[in-house]
Amino acid sequence: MRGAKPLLLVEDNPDDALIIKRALAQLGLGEKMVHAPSAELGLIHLRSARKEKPAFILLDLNMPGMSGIEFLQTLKNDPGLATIPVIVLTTSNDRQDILQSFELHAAGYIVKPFDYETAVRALKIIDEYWNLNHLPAFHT
Amino acid sequence: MTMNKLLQRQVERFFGSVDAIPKEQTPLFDAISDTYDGFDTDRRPIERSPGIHSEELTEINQRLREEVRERRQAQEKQDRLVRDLEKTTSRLEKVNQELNEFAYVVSHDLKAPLRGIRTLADWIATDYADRLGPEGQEQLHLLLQRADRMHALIDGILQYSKAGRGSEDRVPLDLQKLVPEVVDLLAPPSNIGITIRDPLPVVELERTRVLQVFQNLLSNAIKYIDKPEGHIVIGCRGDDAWWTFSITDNGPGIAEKNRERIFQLFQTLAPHKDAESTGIGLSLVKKIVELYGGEVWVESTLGAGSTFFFTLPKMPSEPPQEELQACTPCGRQT
Repeated sequence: MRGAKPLLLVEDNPDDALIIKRALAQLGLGEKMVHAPSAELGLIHLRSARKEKPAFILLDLNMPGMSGIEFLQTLKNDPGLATIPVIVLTTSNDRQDILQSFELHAAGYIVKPFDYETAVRALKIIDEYWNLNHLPAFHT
Repeated sequence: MTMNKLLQRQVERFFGSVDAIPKEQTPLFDAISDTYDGFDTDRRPIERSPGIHSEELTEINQRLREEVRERRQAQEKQDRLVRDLEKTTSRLEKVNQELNEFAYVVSHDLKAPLRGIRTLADWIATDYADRLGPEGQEQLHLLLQRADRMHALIDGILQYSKAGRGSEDRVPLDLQKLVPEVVDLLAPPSNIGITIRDPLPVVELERTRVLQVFQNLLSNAIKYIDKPEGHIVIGCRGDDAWWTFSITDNGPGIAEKNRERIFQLFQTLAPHKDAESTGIGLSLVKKIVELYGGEVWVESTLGAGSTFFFTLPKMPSEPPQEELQACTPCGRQT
């Protein structure tokens, strides 16, 4: 179960970050989200000893600097972070991106919905799903 | 007559002089002389011929050498042209690839800010509903519709550029199974019947592309039916190397002047408020069919309906007898 654990959003696009923030607020999950505007900052957050590890990560793929795929690679090679589920949330429906994400053990792959209501529904389902699941982060 | 010189020398040796030949033997010696002369006449050209030949041969040789040189030059020129052509082709392929990549990347990048615009407009409509008044609400509603239409257009460009992009995965596709799947997916309304008239073949092409061709043509046929009862018939005929598919509808038909235009990008005959009619579908069909070397065309009677035809290559390994059997109409219906 996710419980009171936060979730981490790794997203460079401010509009998309705004959409997810508002959708989470609407779902009553607003305070539990940490937003990293780049993959690098996301890693710094995850590796900081004082910060609570998130229940799961929402990850954008197309970002300047470190890409989402590189972030995923780094994460899965880090024993301390490899067990955190990562749900890819991206505009790309490229077959290569989907394949690579799942090869790197992504827990899900969602193409960003165009309209807000669909985005809210998608996030609601993600939250419900990860509330049903037992997560490693809850036990550490 | 004068005696042959050689014979004369012999005669002089044996008889002392030509005149010493006994008179009754003169005809004999005349005959011998004739023979000698004849021999000489025959021999002369034979002796001369090597001379003539070597002269002529030198000339022929020279001519041949010239020809060889000319041919070699022509060959070199041709090689150069082939190389140029190859270079041009590969450059064109690269430009084409770049254009596809460009269209892909641009349309991809355009989506993000458009999503922002749409979402913000949506929030204003929700959050400030009471302050906007009915007119402001209506305007924001129109703004959302335009954003949706632009999104549909960008999606269309993405699809269009994707069709010519990247490596393709050619697999055998049983159209007898695939086409009914497409029909199911399109879920035509109950007043429209879709019939598969001929047995459909197996083709070896990329799945998504073939799906897109049938999907777009069938959804167009469904969308534009204007009669209370819609009939759509899918047909197939084969020749040596090609299948010719046809999709016939009893819709409004297409005016002669529009029959070329409908295959162009963004050209739609539907009113613009219809967000789904982006004018991508038929151009995508044309692009995919032409990618496989095929053709697409339309025959239509205004008011009575249209038939869209397209050709796709047969599988290379298929034996011809089987092909002939496969395209015999059997009148089967789904």
